[in-house]
Amino acid sequence: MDNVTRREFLRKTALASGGCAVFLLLGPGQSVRAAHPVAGGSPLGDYDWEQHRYAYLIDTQKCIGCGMCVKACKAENKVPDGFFRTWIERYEVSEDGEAEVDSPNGGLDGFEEKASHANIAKAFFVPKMCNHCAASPCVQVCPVGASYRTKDGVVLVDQQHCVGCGYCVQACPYGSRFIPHDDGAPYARTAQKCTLCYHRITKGLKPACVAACPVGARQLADMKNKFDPVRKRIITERVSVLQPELLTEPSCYYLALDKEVR
Amino acid sequence: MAIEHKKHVFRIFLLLGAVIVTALIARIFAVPDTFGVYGHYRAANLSEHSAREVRHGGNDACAKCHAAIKTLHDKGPHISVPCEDCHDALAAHIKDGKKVAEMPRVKSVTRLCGRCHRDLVARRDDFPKINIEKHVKDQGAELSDQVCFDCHNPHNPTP
Repeated sequence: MDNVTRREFLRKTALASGGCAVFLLLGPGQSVRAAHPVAGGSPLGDYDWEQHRYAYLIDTQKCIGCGMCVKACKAENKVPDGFFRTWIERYEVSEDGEAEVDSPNGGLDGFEEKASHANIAKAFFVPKMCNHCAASPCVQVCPVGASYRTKDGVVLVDQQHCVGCGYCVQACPYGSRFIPHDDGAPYARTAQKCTLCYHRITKGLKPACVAACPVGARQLADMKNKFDPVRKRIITERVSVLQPELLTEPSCYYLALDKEVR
Repeated sequence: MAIEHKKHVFRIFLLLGAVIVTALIARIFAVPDTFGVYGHYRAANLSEHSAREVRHGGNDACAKCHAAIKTLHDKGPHISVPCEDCHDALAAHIKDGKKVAEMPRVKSVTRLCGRCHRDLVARRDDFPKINIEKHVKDQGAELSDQVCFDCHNPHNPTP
């Protein structure tokens, strides 16, 4: 097969790759991209996500463990039974430093007193939720790009795109994600988590848990609003985050966090 | 030196080229629309999230029909307790400004009050905590689901 010369081979290859390039440039991918906004504009109409960056402040000394936040989150987001996007933990630490933690049904129905107690030195409630980390391990491990963090600081899941592999559920050190059983709901068997009530905060409303808290233990801050009183508390008071050693850069700040809380 | 197996080399490269082109074409159809506009995710998901139904309406929404109760409520110590904590989310009752269902009744008031006021060890002491069983007994009453309301108006309770 000596009739193909090097010159001819190169010429044909160049023609073929040129044809492919033309197809790829003018193919369906390009027309789709042209129909959508370019990066830089706001994807949400009047709401400009460049103007906000959300953070969350939890004052554990105010929390009374009523579980109204858990109930409101369930109702607002239709969270499946047995799973929680936010939950309350009760800590009872004995005088010997032994900590006992419980969270009956996530605190959804409030708390009952335990049947017996050891000699308790201190006891308190700690609300938990997604920390909306800036260096979020859950987003890093997603193999299909279904988990992401918005410009205004919220970690979201694209349930339409999620394949339900569960890597993110394992990657989250705070236990904030879950994959519900198939109960017939749309996009069952895909990862779910706190969305910081993205449908509410983008309309200027508070997240359901913040709105439901009767004692002001849970608050939303906008770190790009210089006059936000909650932002001021976060930057001026002594706050801590959960498991700082993991360098996940949480956006959830806690006041009066005990060393027993992970 | 002449290449002895030109044909084989040519075929291998042709195959490789075909694989690459197929992969590039398949990618166009496999990657969803709007993927990568803002980052490694589908940009259309942002508006899908923000378009979800708001189910809690807030006290002002309740006051549109229940103004008298809100006035009473706002004068009492329960002012910081939103309506939808004890009742249900507005969406269970109202849709597009029209009543679609009765607000579900609270089954056990005693349990409801206890959520905040039961004297749990873990509950902070500067909050009004009550041993409900003892308190009801001290008042000479019998524990029942609605017993708290015999003396306390939940919208404006006086201790």
